[in-house]
Amino acid sequence: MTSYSWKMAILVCLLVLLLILDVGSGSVNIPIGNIIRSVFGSLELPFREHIILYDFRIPRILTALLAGAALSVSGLQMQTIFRNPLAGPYVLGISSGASLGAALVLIGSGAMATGLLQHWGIVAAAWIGAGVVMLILLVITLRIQNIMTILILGIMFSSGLSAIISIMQYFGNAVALKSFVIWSLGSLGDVSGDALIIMALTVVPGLILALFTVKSLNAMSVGESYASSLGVNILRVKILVFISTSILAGTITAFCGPIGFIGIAVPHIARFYTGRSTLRSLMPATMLMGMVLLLVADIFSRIPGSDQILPVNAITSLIGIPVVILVVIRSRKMLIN
Amino acid sequence: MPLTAQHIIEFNNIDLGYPPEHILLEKIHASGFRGELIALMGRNGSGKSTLLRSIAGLSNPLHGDIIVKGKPLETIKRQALARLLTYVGTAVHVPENLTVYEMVSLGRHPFTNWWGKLKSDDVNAVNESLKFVDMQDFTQKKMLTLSDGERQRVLIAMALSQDVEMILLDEPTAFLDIPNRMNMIRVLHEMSQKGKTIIYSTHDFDTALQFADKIWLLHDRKLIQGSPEDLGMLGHYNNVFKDAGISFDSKAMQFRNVHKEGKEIILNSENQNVENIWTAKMLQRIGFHVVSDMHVGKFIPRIEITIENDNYIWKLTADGKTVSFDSLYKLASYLTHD
Repeated sequence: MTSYSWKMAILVCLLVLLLILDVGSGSVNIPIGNIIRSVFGSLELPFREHIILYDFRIPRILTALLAGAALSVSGLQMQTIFRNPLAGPYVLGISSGASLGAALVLIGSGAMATGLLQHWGIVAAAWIGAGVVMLILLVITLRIQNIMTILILGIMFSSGLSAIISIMQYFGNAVALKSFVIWSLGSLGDVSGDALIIMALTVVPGLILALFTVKSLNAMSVGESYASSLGVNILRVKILVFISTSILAGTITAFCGPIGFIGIAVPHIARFYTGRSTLRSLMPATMLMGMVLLLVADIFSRIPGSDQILPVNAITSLIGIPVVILVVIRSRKMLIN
Repeated sequence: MPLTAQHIIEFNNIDLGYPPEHILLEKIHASGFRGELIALMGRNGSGKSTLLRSIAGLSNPLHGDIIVKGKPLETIKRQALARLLTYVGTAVHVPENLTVYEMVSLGRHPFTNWWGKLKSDDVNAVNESLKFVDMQDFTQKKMLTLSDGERQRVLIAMALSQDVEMILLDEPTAFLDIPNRMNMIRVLHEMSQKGKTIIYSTHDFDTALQFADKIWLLHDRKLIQGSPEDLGMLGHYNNVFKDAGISFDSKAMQFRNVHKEGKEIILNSENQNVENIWTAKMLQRIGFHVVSDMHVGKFIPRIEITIENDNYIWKLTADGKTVSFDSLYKLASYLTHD
């Protein structure tokens, strides 16, 4: 086995270990053995434990796995297409777009929309917000070649949207404000049942689409003109990547709220861990690493032996920020000639 | 040049430039055959990169169709073009961690499946390409650790592994020292001997004169083509740089600064010993006009070179007195400060 295969195998083992750890941890203690036997159908859990396991813990873990993979992959795609180590759904304003959508529903509608309507309204609005930002970025990318310019535009965009949200918050009523603030803290625990199924049915095709862009992105990672002379249709790849990224980052933000720094940090951790930079090696590693990291964040967010849950967005930021700082300090001249 | 062979590349009355109206090259005619090494030369901004990019299909001519293998370039699909020609520009981005082997395997892109997995054919092509540029011992090295010369050779291997008929290279010898530059052109020459058509842009007349089958010289919105010698005989090299105060010395096969007519000085003999050649070169550099011993004017300073105890000694006689120097540097400083 090559060192890469070993590293991937270790990552898979780590993932399984964290899955067991995560499913077994919580304010109500359910023995791991019982959980495993119940999942494989050889044990009937008491009603209360059954509810906790199947309505709360497992959906939350599945959400974490999907969100981890989706956000990391979208970050990797953006870093490759912008050839910039600092690109990611958060930095480029996609999450802000989604937030604006959510804010419009939560604050803008006042208390008019409630219950189910409100829940799906937020999801739809956040999705549209992310999509619109991506579309604008795509149009800019096709016109402006300078990557740094696009990145700066993305950051400005993101700040501009945040400013609009602040104004809305200022005028919003207290109840709406509180629900928006809670949404913006990010949560893996609010997606279950139909919502989880819809999220999976959206994210999985997005991930598959991402896999199909790997070969072309690989060629584009050394420059667009060379990729073009390898037969890559740059415009088509860019559009595919933008669709896939919007689906991935947009959907996760819509259902879970903003979860920062996974998209920007995980590809770097995967690069560092595998020592590789071809997308063929990085894409699977990034997916796994994203799942691992979000499970870790989920475990940390629930203080053992307590009912309190910390906002997952804060935890991922605390993990992600040092990584980004390291990357900035370490980043070398990557252009040749 | 095989006169009956089909052109692999043909320009007929093509205008190149930036849309809508900025014309760099006007109504140009040029052609290339299989196995030709073509050096694309001209001053900065003369349109070399634009010309290369237009052949690669990366930018469109303002007017006219470029013909590749008998077909208008526009009608050739991108994937089909990737089997015919490739282009390596000046701005190649190297991701961190990328190894030499991975870089060269990118050239196999047109041949691999959707996931880009290399089959044994691809592996062979990559290995052979690396061997061709003598980089087979560097396969697992990271690209970012290579020297400029090594990196450039990997880029050539990458283009080679794509197995195309025509390779376009934008300044492959930029930033290279003399041995690396020579080595690079030798590799390009060998590739052309194996039947590849190579078009490369360069500012290096020296190697182009030694190796290129043909030169495409860009000057004043025109393209002049011919063998390096044709262009030299017709005085084209002089034209390109005449307004920059540079002339082409056909004897020395190099460009020279055009010196203002300086003071005359006599060098003791006309023979072509090493010491005479270098002394004359120095005198020319600091603005003297070396005249022969024959038409002696009384007041012209003269230099004699002698050897004493295995060392060269330069004796300068001027205004009736003689001063000795043990290096050209000292002689030059004396002459310039006199």
